[in-house]
Amino acid sequence: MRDRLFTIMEDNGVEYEDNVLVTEIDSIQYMSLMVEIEEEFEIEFPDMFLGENIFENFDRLCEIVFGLVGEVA
Amino acid sequence: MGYKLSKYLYEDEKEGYVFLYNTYKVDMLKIKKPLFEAIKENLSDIKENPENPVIAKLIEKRYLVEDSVNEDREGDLMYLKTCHSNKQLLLTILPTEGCNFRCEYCYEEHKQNKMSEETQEALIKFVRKNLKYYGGLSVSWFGGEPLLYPEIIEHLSEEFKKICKNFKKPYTAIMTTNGYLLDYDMFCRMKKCNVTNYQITIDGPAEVHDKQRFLAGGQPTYDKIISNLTDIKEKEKSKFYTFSLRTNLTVQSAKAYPKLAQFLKDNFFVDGRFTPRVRIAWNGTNDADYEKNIISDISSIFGEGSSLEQTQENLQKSMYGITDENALRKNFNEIMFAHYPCYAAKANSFIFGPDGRLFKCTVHFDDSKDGVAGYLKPDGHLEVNDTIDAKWITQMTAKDKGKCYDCKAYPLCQGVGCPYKMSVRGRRDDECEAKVAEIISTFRVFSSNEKICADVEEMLA
Repeated sequence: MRDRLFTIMEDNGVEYEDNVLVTEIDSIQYMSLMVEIEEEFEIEFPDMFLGENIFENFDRLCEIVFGLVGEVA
Repeated sequence: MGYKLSKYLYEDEKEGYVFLYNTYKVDMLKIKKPLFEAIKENLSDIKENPENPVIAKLIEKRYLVEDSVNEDREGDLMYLKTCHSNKQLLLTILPTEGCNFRCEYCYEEHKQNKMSEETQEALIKFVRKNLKYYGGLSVSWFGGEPLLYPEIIEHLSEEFKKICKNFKKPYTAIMTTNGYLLDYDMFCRMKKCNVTNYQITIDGPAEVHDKQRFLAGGQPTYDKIISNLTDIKEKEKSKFYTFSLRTNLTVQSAKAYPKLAQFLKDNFFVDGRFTPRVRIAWNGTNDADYEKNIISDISSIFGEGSSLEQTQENLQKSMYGITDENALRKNFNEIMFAHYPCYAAKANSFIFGPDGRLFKCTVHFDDSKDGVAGYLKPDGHLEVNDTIDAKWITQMTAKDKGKCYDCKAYPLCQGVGCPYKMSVRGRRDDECEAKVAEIISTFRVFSSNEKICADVEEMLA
């Protein structure tokens, strides 16, 4: 699952160095990524994550997504 | 070293405070008048990294700038970053100029055309050839009514997604639609095309909307649009599909606006995915007097006020007072950023008609002199008329530029705003004055909210 998530980010040109985001993500791209992850993993991000830049750290992103899917990262 | 007040500030005084409206940072704050006066008197003594936290905050938020800063050049730089960026390839695509509506104020000719397969393939080749120069692809579906031909949107989206995936670049899409054909099934089809934002117009309660926005055969459209939106709101759980509900103000829709606003607030704006957008209805000309007359005609509906500035303020108070506090910041930003240069002024923005003609502006398709800036060839090569293109994507003449440098709103419109008005047709003082009045009134309306306009000392607490 981590690979699937990484592929989504990579296909959208989002890059990480040592798990830290090095790409600038604008608001439209943010929406688009959130939607793609929701579709891919059949999840819905609850309000608590809306104010947070969940893409900032890849480990944190995995933790959130897998938490919503119900799996351990 | 010494500091000075940024030249891009409007100052307003109310209840013992000075309100500072910052057009460079699109920000505002208030400061007790005696404190502000004391700071102003000693600007030349301020050193780098000042100990006074209020002064440090004013520097951090760019209310104070170093004496040596040439703010004109920084304004120019903003223009270059906005209009000559290669961050994204911005395409506006018209699958058709045809429409199932015949809105009473519409400027389009409703040509019953459809993008041919040859043009679609040329468009795909154009993207394949050019995407490498940009950071990503962003498509805006427009028309006519784009949903008359969803199969074109699906075909092009599929190809664009493949190209973006190969280049490892993001693909995003938005759509302007009348909403009549956007039932939940269609919405799901568009989800697969990455469309995440829609602009849909509702001009009033049914009795007003249906007089302004009706089908080609004259039939009403309000109930169907509201039913579609309600259905999507209830069935779609993701928070990342958003809807700007636009109202075009005419005298009759302005009169009914309070009723519509209450309905939209109760039924849609309670859901953060839906936000209001209110504009003066287009009348097919670029007559500044037309806008002034409408504002004057509707001013009594929104409260008395003799000056243009006061009328704008009354109008905005009524329009934007309908949203809850959480939506205020978003609304404020959206309104202020609407003063930034239009996509028509951007070198990375291309509008393609159904026949492959290149437009710069979605309003001036049919301007016989400057409307068409080029043609897309079957091999994906774009033949551009530089004489016309230059009028859209460069700033105005040096003579007018001097006036921009004297204007506190320069970082917002960046000497461009609407390039048709500022450059293609030519700048008019009265239009700039009206724009400035609108900007100041927006700051004033939102300044009453502490979340947007805080006391600088309380920010430090």
